[in-house]
Amino acid sequence: MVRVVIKRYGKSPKELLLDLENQWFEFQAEALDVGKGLHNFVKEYIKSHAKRPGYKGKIANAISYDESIEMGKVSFAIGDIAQLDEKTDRAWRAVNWGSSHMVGRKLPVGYFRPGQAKPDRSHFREGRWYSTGGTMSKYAPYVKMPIPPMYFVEALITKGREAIFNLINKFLERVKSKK
Amino acid sequence: MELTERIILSLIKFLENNNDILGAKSINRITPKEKDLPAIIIREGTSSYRDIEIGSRLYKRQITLYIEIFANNDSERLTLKDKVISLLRKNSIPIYDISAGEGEYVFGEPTDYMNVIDMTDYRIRLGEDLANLDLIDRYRHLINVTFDIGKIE
Repeated sequence: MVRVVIKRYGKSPKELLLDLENQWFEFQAEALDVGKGLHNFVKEYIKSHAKRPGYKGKIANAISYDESIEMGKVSFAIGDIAQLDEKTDRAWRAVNWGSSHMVGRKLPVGYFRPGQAKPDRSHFREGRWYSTGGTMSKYAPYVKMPIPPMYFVEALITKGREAIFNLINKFLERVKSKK
Repeated sequence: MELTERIILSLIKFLENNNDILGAKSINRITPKEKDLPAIIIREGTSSYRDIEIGSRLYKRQITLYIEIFANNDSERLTLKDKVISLLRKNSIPIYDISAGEGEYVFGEPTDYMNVIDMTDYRIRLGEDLANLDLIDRYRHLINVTFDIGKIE
């Protein structure tokens, strides 16, 4: 006698789901684009947040990317902890979360560049300490400051959440507006 | 003072005001020294901005802050992080109007309130045996918190 039909966006939930289903292959392709974009983001983040000049990209280059498409499933993975530990001798952890492990310790005799072999405050965070090659000074510096955290893993997680939210939203918008 | 710095300083003030519950020796923005443990450190994270509607220049900001716990032992680490999480989950945190005076910050009235919308926490492991680490690095915990600041900009 009474039939109630509730349609949101002019479609029943079944119709919405069907429209979403029909876009699955496009969704998979765009999800992988998001994955590659995030991989690029974290590598650039590390390079742009390096505290000293002359960063060669050891940690950024050790961050792997893997993706897979299976029936009804799409996935990507950025970074592998075992691989990062091995390739960076676990240094990525101290760079990501910061560390005080060197504070109060003496570095090997060497020289600082640029500037004088013995660094002064005007070159704070402008150069590096070299203990091989070049002309050594007699000076061996004490480390006074902890390594500040870079939080690149956390930045990737935040960025990843946002990117996946936007991707799902984009497809929902497309389905809602499709006649 | 601009919003991000006001948010960080307001969060520090909120935790300081509740330090009788927390029992931290130091609540600050920089890595503590051993004598300051247990300590809570607030650091700036990333922000995301969402348009309130397509084509609008108005947006809502969500800001992520990193709250790091440095403790003397494992029990202290777990207790302190649970207390911080509980405080943040159960309260709206005032964002104050702040101006920088002569070597100090002057806090005015709250202008807005921020609320937690997402939170994760985990132990920081530096990949070494605890015995090889300085005390400062042994019992660390990170709480990654995203706040909605409750206003359209």
